[in-house]
Amino acid sequence: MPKLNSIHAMNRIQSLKNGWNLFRKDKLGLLGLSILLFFILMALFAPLMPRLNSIYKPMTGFDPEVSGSFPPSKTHLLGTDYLGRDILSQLMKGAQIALAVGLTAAFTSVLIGTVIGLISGYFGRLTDTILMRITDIMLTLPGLPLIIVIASAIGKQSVWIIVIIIAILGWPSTARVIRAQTLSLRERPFIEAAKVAGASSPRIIFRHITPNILPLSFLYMTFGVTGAILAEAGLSFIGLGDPSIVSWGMMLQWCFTTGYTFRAPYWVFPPGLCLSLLTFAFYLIGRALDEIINPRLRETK
Amino acid sequence: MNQPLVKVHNLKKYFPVKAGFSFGKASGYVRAVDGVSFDIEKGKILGLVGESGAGKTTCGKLLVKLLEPTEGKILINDQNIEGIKGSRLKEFHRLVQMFFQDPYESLNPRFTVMQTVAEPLLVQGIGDRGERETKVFQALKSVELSPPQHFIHRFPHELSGGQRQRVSMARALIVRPKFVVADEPVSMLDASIRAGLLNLMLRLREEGLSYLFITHDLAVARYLCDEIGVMYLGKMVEKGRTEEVVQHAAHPYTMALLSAVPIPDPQMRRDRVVLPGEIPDPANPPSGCPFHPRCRYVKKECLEMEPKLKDLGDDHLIACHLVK
Ligand SMILES: Nc1ncnc2c1ncn2[C@@H]1O[C@H](COP(=O)(O)OP(=O)(O)OP(=O)(O)O)[C@@H](O)[C@H]1O
Ligand code: SF4
Ligand SMILES: [Mg+2]
Repeated sequence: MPKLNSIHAMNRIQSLKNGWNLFRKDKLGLLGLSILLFFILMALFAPLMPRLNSIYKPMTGFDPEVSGSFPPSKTHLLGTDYLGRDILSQLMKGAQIALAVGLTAAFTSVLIGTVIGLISGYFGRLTDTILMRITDIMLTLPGLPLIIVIASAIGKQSVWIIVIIIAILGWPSTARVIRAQTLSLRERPFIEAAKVAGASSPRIIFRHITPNILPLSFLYMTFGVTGAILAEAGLSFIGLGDPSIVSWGMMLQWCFTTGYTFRAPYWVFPPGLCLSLLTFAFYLIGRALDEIINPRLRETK
Repeated sequence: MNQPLVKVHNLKKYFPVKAGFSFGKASGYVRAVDGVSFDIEKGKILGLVGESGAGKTTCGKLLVKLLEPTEGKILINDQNIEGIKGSRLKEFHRLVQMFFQDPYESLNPRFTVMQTVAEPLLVQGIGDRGERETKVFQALKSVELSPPQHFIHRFPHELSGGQRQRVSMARALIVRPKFVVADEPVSMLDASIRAGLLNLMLRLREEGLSYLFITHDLAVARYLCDEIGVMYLGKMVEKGRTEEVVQHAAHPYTMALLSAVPIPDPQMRRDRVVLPGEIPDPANPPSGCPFHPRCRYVKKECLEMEPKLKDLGDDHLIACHLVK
């Protein structure tokens, strides 16, 4: 008997390969991926900076020789902030925070949205009505203002609380899309065939429907990352961020509150540019994935 | 006489239809199946024939519990199947299986043939992995997909229509059901491969399998079925032994069906029978005899009174005012 598992794994790899071959053709998607890769490297190398020299600690590395904000020099390639801390090391630490916040918040919200969309779409009836009412209410809530209100009400700021708030406010759009997709999959004859085979509802949902909607969830995750990164930056900028970490939004806030905005372009530009580039990268990747995934969805209808 | 394996009595399925702006409330019903009764004996094939929208598929789905009836009783193997759930439902699906119409749609595109055919065994908890694989090999051989190892790792898109339909049949047969609802299993396939599949079904009948065979094609029904039931707008209008119905058709609708030749419908990837006149809106059926707007023999009483099923003798039933 041939080894079934390894052959199924090969098939899965094959289908990933096909996806990659399609993605490769999208030049803008590749650009997005390269930018993302650049930031991933930045985040990976962030912990190396303080090891080189303790003046490169992003939060506490006050350089005694420069007591204030100075433009780029040999020791501080991107200059220093008002406390004489190295901007490059802050920027690298910020990449770590942005990726962590963006990915966890987006992952959590897409996970919640996918599960709710699946349950709502598959079971229909009262379950669907109740879940979709909740979803609609959540959708009509004004996102960012509400995040601000909740964040300031909680008072003691931690990034993880911010991540949770973003995730909780972010799932409804995914839930809607996944529900619609589940509704159309539910009517497909292969689902009826699985029912006649005797498959339970959980098995039908997780073995038959989920694999067919996961690409869509993944797509929504790339969109969600952008929103989460910008939300965290916005909160930090208006002073509702986590004061114990260095995020790009925090850097902008420090610059702004100390009155350096127009005097120190070397300080304002890097975090602003990084925010734009990283969100742009996710946008490009999402758009390229959309091109691949949606025709496929149409085709399998 | 044998005790029938399947007994269906006064089966009804009404689908609520919502018109435009009615909030939640159903404004009417489609009487997809409206008071149908029949029996199927062990090892026999009953053919359900009728145009599109007659309620054939709905009837079949009721029998495999993909739908719950609005009214009526279904006994299979002397067991009332109403409301069975959980492990009894699983058991039921070892007894009753279905062949689906569309071989392009009835297989999960992400499952290999092995995964698809083994699924009933897996969810029913039959055998260990090795035993399941052996059974899959046997099932594939029994539907003439050989050598099986040639097929088990393939995905549906790597198979032809006929091969997919055989895989779909192997999945149904692997639990050794006693009764199969076959919903137009060959209508979407090329004529050249139909005969093979029909003969396969006949061979399985020799082994004691019973079928409800759904088709719009009387010629196919005649070839395969022991009995034929003709449906029109949710109602059984004529029923009897195949040769009796085909050679002594008494209902004007059956006569019209017999004279119609199926024409291919490329859009639906299958043939259609087209009769003169339009099929009425099933949510708004005609008064009296549902066939009267299209009937050549229509009389006054046909508009007012619905004909009841009458026995012409020899179990040949017909619902038409022409028959007294
Ligand atoms: N889930 C549903 N909801 C509402 N109406 C339905 C549903 N399923 C079927 N119907 C309606 O019930 C009637 C009978 O449909 P059914 O599919 O049983 O016909 P059929 O005889 O199998 O036709 P075909 O030859 O096209 O397969 C049709 O008018 C159809 O529109
Ligand atoms: S009852 Fe009347 S309308 Fe109906 S089929 Fe018979 S003759 Fe035609
Ligand atoms: Mg049908």
